[in-house]
This record gives sequence, C-alpha cells and structure tokens, in this order.
Amino acid sequence: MRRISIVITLILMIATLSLSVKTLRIWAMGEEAKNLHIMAEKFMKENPDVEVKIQAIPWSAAYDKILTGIAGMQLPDLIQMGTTWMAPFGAMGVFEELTPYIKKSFINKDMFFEGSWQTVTMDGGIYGIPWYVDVRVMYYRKDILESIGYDHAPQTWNELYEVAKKLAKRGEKMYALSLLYTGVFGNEFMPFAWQAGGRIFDENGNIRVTDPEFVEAIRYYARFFWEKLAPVGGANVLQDFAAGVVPIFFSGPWMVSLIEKQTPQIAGKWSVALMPKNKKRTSFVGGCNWVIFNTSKHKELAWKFIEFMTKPENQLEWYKIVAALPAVKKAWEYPELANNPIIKVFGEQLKDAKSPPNIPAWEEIANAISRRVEEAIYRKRTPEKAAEMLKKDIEKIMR
Amino acid sequence: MRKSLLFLCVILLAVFCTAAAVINDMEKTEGLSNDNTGAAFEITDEFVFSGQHSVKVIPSGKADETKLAFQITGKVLEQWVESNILEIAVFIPEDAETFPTKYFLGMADITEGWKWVDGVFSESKSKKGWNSVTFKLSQKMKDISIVGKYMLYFAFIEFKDGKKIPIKDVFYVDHFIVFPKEEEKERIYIFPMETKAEISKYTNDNTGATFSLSDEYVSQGLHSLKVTPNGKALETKVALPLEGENVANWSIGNKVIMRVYIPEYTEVIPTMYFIGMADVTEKWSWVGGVFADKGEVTKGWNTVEFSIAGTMKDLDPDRKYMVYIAFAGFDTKNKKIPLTSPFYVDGIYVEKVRVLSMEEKMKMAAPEIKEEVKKMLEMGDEELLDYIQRKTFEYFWNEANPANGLVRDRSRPDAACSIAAVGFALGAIPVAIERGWISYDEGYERVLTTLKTFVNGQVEGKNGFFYHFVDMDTGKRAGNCELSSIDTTLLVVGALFAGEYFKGTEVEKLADTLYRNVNWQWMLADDSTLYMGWKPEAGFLNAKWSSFNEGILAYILAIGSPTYPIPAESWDKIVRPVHDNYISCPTESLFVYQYPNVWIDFRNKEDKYANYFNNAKVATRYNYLFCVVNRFKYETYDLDIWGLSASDGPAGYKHYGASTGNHDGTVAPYAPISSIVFTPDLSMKAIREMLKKYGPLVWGKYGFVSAFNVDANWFSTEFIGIDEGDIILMIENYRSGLIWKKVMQNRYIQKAMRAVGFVEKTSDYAATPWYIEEYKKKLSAASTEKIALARKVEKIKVDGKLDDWKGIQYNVVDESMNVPSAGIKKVNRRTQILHSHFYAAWNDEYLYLAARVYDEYIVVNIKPDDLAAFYRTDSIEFYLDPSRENPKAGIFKLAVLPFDTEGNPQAVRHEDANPGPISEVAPDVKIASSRTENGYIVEVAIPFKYLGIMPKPGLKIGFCHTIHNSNVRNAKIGAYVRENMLSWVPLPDIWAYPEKWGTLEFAK
Repeated sequence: MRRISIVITLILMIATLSLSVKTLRIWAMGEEAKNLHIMAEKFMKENPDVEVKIQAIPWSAAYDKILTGIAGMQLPDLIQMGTTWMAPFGAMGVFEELTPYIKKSFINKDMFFEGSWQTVTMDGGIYGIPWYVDVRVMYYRKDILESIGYDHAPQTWNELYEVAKKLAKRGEKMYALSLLYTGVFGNEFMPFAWQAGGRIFDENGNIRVTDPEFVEAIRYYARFFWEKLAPVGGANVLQDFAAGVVPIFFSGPWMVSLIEKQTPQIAGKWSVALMPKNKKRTSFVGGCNWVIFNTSKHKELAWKFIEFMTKPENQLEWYKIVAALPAVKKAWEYPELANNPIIKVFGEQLKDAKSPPNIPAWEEIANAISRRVEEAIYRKRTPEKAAEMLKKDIEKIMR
Repeated sequence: MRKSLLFLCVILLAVFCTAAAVINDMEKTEGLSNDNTGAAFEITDEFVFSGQHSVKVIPSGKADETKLAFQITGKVLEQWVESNILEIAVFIPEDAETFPTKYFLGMADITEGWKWVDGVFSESKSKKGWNSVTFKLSQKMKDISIVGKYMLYFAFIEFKDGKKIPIKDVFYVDHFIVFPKEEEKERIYIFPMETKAEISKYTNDNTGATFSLSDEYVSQGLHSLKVTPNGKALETKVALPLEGENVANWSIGNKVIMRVYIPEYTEVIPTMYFIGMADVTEKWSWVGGVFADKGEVTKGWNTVEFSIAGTMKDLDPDRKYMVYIAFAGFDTKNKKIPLTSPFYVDGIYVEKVRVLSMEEKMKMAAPEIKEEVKKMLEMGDEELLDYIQRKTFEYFWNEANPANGLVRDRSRPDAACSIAAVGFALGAIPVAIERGWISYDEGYERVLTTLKTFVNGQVEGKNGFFYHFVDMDTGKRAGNCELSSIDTTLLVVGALFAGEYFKGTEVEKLADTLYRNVNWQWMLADDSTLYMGWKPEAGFLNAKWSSFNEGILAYILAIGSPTYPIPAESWDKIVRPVHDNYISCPTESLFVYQYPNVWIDFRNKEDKYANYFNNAKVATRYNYLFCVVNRFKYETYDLDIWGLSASDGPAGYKHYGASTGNHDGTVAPYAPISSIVFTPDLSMKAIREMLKKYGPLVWGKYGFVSAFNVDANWFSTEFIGIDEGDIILMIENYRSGLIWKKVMQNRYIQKAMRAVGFVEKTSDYAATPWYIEEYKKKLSAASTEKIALARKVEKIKVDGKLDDWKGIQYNVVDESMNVPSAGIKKVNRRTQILHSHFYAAWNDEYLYLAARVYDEYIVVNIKPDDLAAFYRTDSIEFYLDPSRENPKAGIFKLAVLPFDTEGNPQAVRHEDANPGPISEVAPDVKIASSRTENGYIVEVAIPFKYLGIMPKPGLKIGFCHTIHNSNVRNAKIGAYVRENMLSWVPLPDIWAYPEKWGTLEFAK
C-alpha cells in the first residue's frame, strides 16, 4: 500500500513537472557560477513556471567541457562565454544567431560599449549578448609617484617613460612598472599597439604588423625591459606593488578587491588611471557574453533570461554581488558606480577600449605576438625583425 | 653507371640562398686568432671556394688541436638567430698526410667578460679536395642577444688509433656561412672538371684554345680546367657534351653557375661570357644561347651565373646536346679583342633544393595518379566509396601469399605477415565477392587456404593464440614478437565472419575450430582481465586489457567461447573512464573505438555502461573538433582534414590521438574514412578534401596511404593491412551492413552479448546516464575517501634524506593522476617517469612532510630571488586545510622548489591565507632537498603555530600533494615551462577547492 502511494506521488510529481515547469539549463564558470543562483532565484520568482539549473564549471576545465559537450551533443540551453572564446566555438556552428530575437526585444546594440559589442558579432551575425565587461587600466602608487615629483598618473607614453626612468633610479632592484613578457600576453600587448595607431589587419584583411606604428609599440614595450624599468622574473605583482618595488601595473577590475583584501597596508596610497596616450589611449576590453546553443529546446526561455540579466537594475545588482562591471552603459549611471572614483575610471576607459579581431585564429595570433615581442624583449630580434617574423607567422596561421 | 659517377659529382653544399649569411668570407686574416694553438694564417688564391681568396691554415705541427677563432657581432647576429646550420668549406690538399678528420665549433659570450655558451661537433667527414663541414647550432648557441659579442672557435682535429695527433700539413678554409635548414641547397656538378678522361671530350669549336687538367687553382674537387687561348681568336670557346643524366640535371634550377679564376698576370680579362646550346642527337641544330648575368669579373676567383629558361631549359632527356661556352675580352673602346693568357674554369653546376616542397611534390606526382584523383573527385558518393573499397581490396589480394593466405603487415616487400591483417583479409574477401571484383570460387579458395594454414598448425602459436607477426612463407614467429591476444582476436573474428558468410561449408567448420582452439582461460590473469600477450622468453606480458579500448572485442570473443570461456564478470573489470559524456580511451586514438564496431553491430544496444556505437560517434566528433580547434597550430588540420589515430608519422609509428601532447600534425586517412558509419557527412567531406588538397600524395596503388603530415612535408608511400581492412569493412558496413549482419548471426557472439548484459535500446547518449553518475560518485568518493596517515614521531631531521622515515608507510601520486586542465599534458607513461612517494609525520611542534619524486629530468631555471609561482617548473606543493578542525584556521599551501639556480630549495606560501616567501610569512618552516639517482627528495617541517591547530591523534585536516613537471631542456631562466601536473586528488582546479582535497589523519 505504501509503495503504491509513493508511486502515485511520483507519477503526480512527474506529471506536474512536465506539464508546467520548464527547465533552463545554464553552464557558468568561476565566481559567476558560485553566485548566479541569486539572480536565478529572482528570475524564477518572476517566472514561477521555470526552473533554472546552473552547472558550475571550473575555468580550467571549461574549454574541454564545451568541446566534449559539442562532440556529444550534450549542451545546456545557455552558457557564459568568455569574449575570446566566442570565435573558436562560434566557428563550430553551435551558437544560435540572435538577430530575430533582438528585433522583438528592448535589447539593442547601442545599449552596450562598442568594444564589448564587437565580441558578439561574427561574419555579420550576432551570436551573443554582453553580460559583463572587464577593461584594463593603469594601477599606480600615488605616494611613490609623489615622492619623485608627480601629483598625477603618467598621461602619455613619453610621460610614462620619463616617470619610469625616475622610478627605477630610486635604488638597487627598484623598478617602475610590471609588464607581461612570457606566456601568452597578446591581449596585454595589444593596447600598446592600438595606442600607437597600429593594427593587426586593415579593412581589406591585409596584415599590418610591420607598419611603423606596430613596430613602435613593440619597441616601446620592449624598451622597458632593455632599460631594466620592468622586472624580468616571476614577480608577484601584488606584493611588489605593496612593497613599492613596482609602483605601476596594468590590469583589470578584479585587482581592485584583491589589493583591498590582500594588501590593506597600502589603502589610500594607490589609485587607477586611464591608459597612457600615444595617438590614443585605447585599452583591451574583455568579459563574458551570454550565448544560446542552437541545440536548445528552450531558446525563447533562454532569451528571456538574457533579457532579465540585461536590464540595467539587474546589471547593477550583479555588480553588487561580484563587482563585475556592467556591459550595459545605462547601469553606469547608478550612483554606486558613478560616484565611485575608482570604478569611474573603468567607465571612462571603456569608451576607448577594443577587443582583438573576433576570429577563431586569434588565440594562435596572440601566441605569435607573445613569442615575437618576447624575442624583442630578450634582444633576440630587433623590433623590425620581430614584426617581420610576426607577419610571416600570421600569414601562415591565416593561410 | 660509371658515367654518372663521373659527371654527376654531387657535393652537398649550401651555397647562395636568400637566407644564408656569410659570417666570415675568409678574404683577409685580420681578426683571426689561433687560440694559442700556434697555427698561422695566410691569404691565398690557390684553392678558393667562393669569393677571391681563402685562408691557408698552417698548423704548428705540435698542438693536438689546430684552432681558428674570430669574433662575431652586429648585423650578422640578426642572421645568426634565424639560422640552424653553420657551414665552412675546407680544402685538404691531395698530398696531405695529416689533415682534420673531426671538427668542433665552440662559442663564447664576450659581451661582458668571457662566458662559455656551448659547443658542437660536426658530423661531416673529410676527404681530399673540398669538403663541406656543417655544424648544427644548438639551442643555446641560437639563444643569444643580437646586441651581444661572441667568439667562435673552430677546432680542427686529427685522430690516430683513437688519439688526437697534431696536424702537420696545411689546409685551406673558406666561406663561413650560416643558414636555416629549410633553405639548404645542393650543388650538382654537370661538368666537374676532375679527370683527363672528362676534359678529353671537350673541344674548342675551332677557336684554337687548348685545355689541360690543372691543380694550381681549384674551386671544387681536386682539379680544374686550364684554358689556354691561342691569342688570335676573338672568342675563346669550350664545347662540352651534355648527355645522359646530365640533361635532366641541367634543368633542375633556373641557373647554371660556373667558377672562373683569372690569374694576376692576365692582361686581357675575359669579361664576356656566353653559353650556347645545340641539339646534336642526329644532326646539329641550334637550341638557344644566353649571356651571363651582369656582374663584374676581376682577377682572382669569380662566380659567373647564366639564367636558363625556355628552350635551353626544356630539354629532352633522351637527346644529346652540346654546350658552348664563349669567353671574350674587350679593349678600352669596348671592342672585342683576343684573349692572350690562360685562365681556369672549375665546376659548372646547378643548384637543387635538397627537400622538395609539397607543391613541387604535387607537381611531380605521376600523371596517371593525378588523372585518377581527378576522376574520383567527379564521382558521386556511392561510386567514390565503391572505387575506394576496390582499390583498398587489392591490398589484400596482392600483398598476400596465395599459397597460405598470409597477408603482409604493410606494403613493403620485406614485411612480415600480421595475423590481424589476415583477419581483415577474411573480412574483405566476402566484400569483394559481393561487389563482383572476384568470383565466389576465387574468394572461397583463398579463405579456405587461409583457414587451413592456421588450423593445420602451419602458423606458430600456442594454446590457440598466434604470434603477432609471422613469416610470410613459413608462418614462423617473426623476430621476438609476442603471442598476441588482440591480434588473435582480430584473426578469429574475421574467420567467424567468413564462417557465417560461407555457412554450411568447410570454411564454417574451420572457423569454428580456429575459435574453439583458443584457450582464453590460459590468457586470463588473476584479476580476471586478459593479458595482452605472452612470450616464451618472459611469460605473460605485464600489460593487460584492463582499461577501455579495442580490447573489449577480445572480451566478447573470450566470454562467448564454447570451449574456454572466461566469466562474464571480466567485462565489469574493464576500467571505463568517462570524458564528460562518453567513455574514453585517454590517448583518443580513433582505431580504439572503430575496431570493435567493425565487427559487432552495437547500434541500438547498450549494456549498463554505454551505447558503444554512440560512444564511438562522440569520440569521433571529439577527434574532429580537436583537429578543428588546432587547425591554426598545425597546417595539416583543417575543417575537413582530420582524424588522429595510431599510424606512421614523420618520426615512425605512433599511437597518435586527440589529446594534448599526443599529436604532431599527422593525419591518418583511415581514421576519418573508417568513421563513416558514425559521421557520414564529416567522413565524406574528409575523403573529398584529402583528395582535393593532397590527392596525388595521399592516394596510391592500394588507395589512401597510411598517413601524412603537411607541417613536416611528409607523405607516407606505404599502405598498412589493418588500416586498409578498417577502411574497406567500415565502408561496407555503411553501404550494406554486411559485416555487422553476418557477425551478429553468430551464436557465440550472441551468447556473449547477452552474458555481459546488452539489451536492445535506442538512445541518443553515449555513456549511460547511470554510469556517468556512478563514475562521478566514484571520483568524488575517491577524493574524500583518500586518507593519508601522519605517524607520531620523536623528531625528524630535515636534511633532504629519508633515513628518519624508515618504517613509515608512504602514499603514492602516480603517472595516472593527471589534473585535467587546459595546456597541461597528461604524463606519457611510455616516455616519462613521474611519480611521488610522500610521507607524513608529526610531533607536538611540527608537521613533517616528505616527498620522494621520481623524475627522469629535473629542470632548474629559477633564480634564488624569483620567489613566485614555482609551478612554472619542476616543483611540488603540499596543500593543508586545517579549517576542517578549526574553522578559524586559514588554508596553508606550501610550494617548494627543490633547486634554484644555486642548488638550494626555496619555498613560498602561495594563494592561501598568508601568501609570500617563507622567510617572511612563515620563517620557522624548515625545508631541505636533495637529488637522488632518479629524481629528488623534498623534506619539510611546518610548525603547528602556522596551522592554527593543536595536534592530537585522530585529528583530520584537508590535504593534497601535487607535482609540477617540466622536461624542457634549455629552459630559459624564469620561464614558464610546466608540462605536467599530477595531484593526489586529480580533479580540475584542485588548488582552488579545499573541500575536494583528501584527508591527512594524525595517528599515534
């Protein structure tokens, strides 16, 4: 008797589930995965017939997980997609094209920062909606710069170089700024190329890395190492920043809370500033987008969730939860962002920020850039020769 | 033949190519040093390889090594870093009694002070005359700064009875150049001008000039041609017959090059050079003529080049030609005047790029193959597949011994028979009968012969198993190969299929007997898994079919055996790792998934673990996507060029697959083609794209070649039996299901499938949802269930030695415990050693930890002051989570570098509650390290005050131990060179999830 009643309850439960409750499956990574349930609960409250299931995926396993998901055709409805992964996975033809959804929605291109919108467009189609952004700015030690006579952050390339020379003169093993020089740092190098007016491809798809502007960027970047203004070695940026050994570095918004938490001793002694200007002061914009898989059986529902996350008030709420910078410009008008002197700089920088070419080969091009710039840093090639080799690399990659 | 020796004198020399750079032209002796070997240097024009002079080296006759050294700096270093080869030309006079036979190149950095860089010996051999001596530059030698200054030391050494002896005779050196390997070119001497016999064929075309063989001025070999003009003719001419192989050689390059020496005393210098050609096969007919390319000719040695094109290049190799070289001088009014004094000509040659580019190979492919490929590309799918099958079948018909049915392992005349290839032949023959390529009787006869050979004891074996490879004629074991369980399986399953096809005939009976003879129980190990094989010299192999791979086919046959069945439970002993949503063989070699599916129809069937057809389909799609995402790293891979599986490759046969570190751009055509049952669209596209892009290089007499690698410009010309079998049978399954149908009719197979739990079921998943859950549970249970015991001790001396740890049980982190993460390779057990035995102990003050790491190569590239992220290189970590006991205690993660560049251990706390160098954040931690014969030992003592807990028996804290490994030789200082990461709990991002760490339990 007891068993029968359990069976009946089960049948009833299954019936209700299948009749009224739709399940939206989401894959998310990192901190987002840990906190997204807060937003999901709010969404479910607004949509009682929906159950949102979030699967957390460690970043280091995410690439392969998506790949096997595509191979096994076992994919969620919606996924958090890093901007630099848009092209490689997008090229596999598994993303839903979103133009028809946008047509009947409040969501439109102009709501987002230009550099961020670049990351969702490929071959004329729209394959994602920006969720949050990150942008690199200059972190600097106010107190140390003051000690060498600067009451402001370096504004231009020349000023940064002058400041750097003075900072390095403070003593033995003292440096000015920290720059990446090993591993893959194409995304860290590109802002310098953009600032100089350089580019990888022109409008006609010609490779332009041997242009004087691009070469100038390689030389400018490498010179900080040649003149020992930037340290070589596995420096720990945060500790060196706190110790004053390296009073300038470039990084994204996540560093703000890290500095506050891990090096409270320098509270009030540091700030952030826009990237240094050459022709421009362009920075790198990254972050994450929402993508719907075209295998999804709940595409409309997935879109509804994207719309929910795109609303300025929810963008703000999300900022409050994990301090991720809103991709929606309107959200920056809330006082929480507009009145925060540090965060304001990020907002300003976002107006002059770019993403690398949105093509599947970018990762490999970024590898090549790193390899060649590193050669210039180690003086194994001149900046000109390194650029020539880079051109050959890119030709081979794009063949 | 002799003629070719005479005329085709080939010296392998890299000369003039765009990327070659002269580092010393040996036109002067300034800057040359003998490095205290007493040698003297003189400028000479006697024997000159290039330019106008060479350097005569006069050894002291006393020093063991004669040396020549000079400095390089500036612009040339920019070329140096682009180069891989350094080449010098060395002339050894014919009468020399002692001369260099070994060459060494050393390099020192003299930018600031003097610092040794590296040295290499040359592989080049010496002979009389001109030699090209090449040095392969080492990575260290190339890893230099272009703003530095370097010294090059060339040592010339002679050996007698294994001992260095002083060189007494002079020799000559010239033309020190560097160049990248790809640009290597070879000189083919059309007219080497070395023998009297050769020059006796030269005529003067009625210009009165006389010729003699000279050894005064020589640019190649030991002799040159001395031309003495008659002083009257306005043009001095040499006519040289061009015939035989030289005709083809003439057209190899776009240039014909000649070396000319003009003596110092010459009054009228020949400045006009002209080459004319005539066809003299039957009667004389003019072909064409050309003047030398512009360039000044001066006294001394000159290089004169002629650009050859049009009729002078399009020669018919079957015809005979005459080459006329005309020399003339001019007076001040630019009027032609007769030459008056002798000059020397040596070595008229062409240059050939040593390695043909892929494009050249394509161009040079046989026209009939090109034509065939073109026709194939015009065929419809069905017709194309039929054609591929047919060509493929010819392998099994032609590469077999008709007398006994044995089939070659590969299309090499000396190849042994592979019994697995025989199994595939037994599968292919019924296909050929059905398709009408052979008659029923022909096919039946061949199958009958084959089965009789095996059943009647003409093939060496034991207990029904056969040796992997046997002699094509005698059937005797080849080499010392193993008695193979999987290859016997492939033979037997082929026989069973043939038995079903020829049902009711003698073939069916013989196939049955062959199967009944196999004693599977004998091959079964104590743990109920099958051994991979047996050898008379050593007994059973260590390796067993204990993990998921092609071995599952052996289990089905073994469980279904009517005579020696193994228990069905063995099926459950197979370890089946789940890769997200399918059961995976970690090498991701495609054949692993294909072989069982060639024979068994796994469609719409599943056991509790998987639908193995769907499983193979997912693995195939993964393999495809893996190539797609790597297509910018490897030129071979492309959207429709994919398929990584065990195959030949540029460096031999390898178990290639879609996993990091297990591929190099080699694609095996059989891999995507035999996937056709799983991924018909992708496979069809792959077939067409391979034919379209590389057709003539990947297609041959038995269909698709075994493998190719565009990155390495390597195309196999061989065909492998088991690959051919996979192709023909899988295509047949795709077209008609013939093999599946017949094999599934076999009652033993049916019995086995039932016994291991297969049921009919249609599903869209690979691994069953139940098994995926089960596997996850097992994994996470594995982490929380992992317990290491820390023993209570008096005291342990932290000295990097493990004497104090005697009697304490260690725990193991082995090669299989790879942390899955992007950019980290799995440890390759075949080529690497990497595991750790770790120990834990405690007393009231300290927690002691020690790890004995086994690692075949230790990278030391971190300076003592570089105290961050040791995981960049060879290092270990201990993760401790005392918060499981005291919620207020913080995580403690200790990263230990066993050796910095000064040989000392270093430790930091990393990404934990209080990160930083140990000296600052936990100064009372003690660390020590030592090298061992096969790796290193790290020993540490951590005071409990840093952990925030009081030790007592029964205490449990979170614990994990990781090994970071690199095998990069010449790792740059500070560079990130990690390749592998192993962890006691091998889960993704394990460093960030203390809740997933194992347990360290304090014992008494």
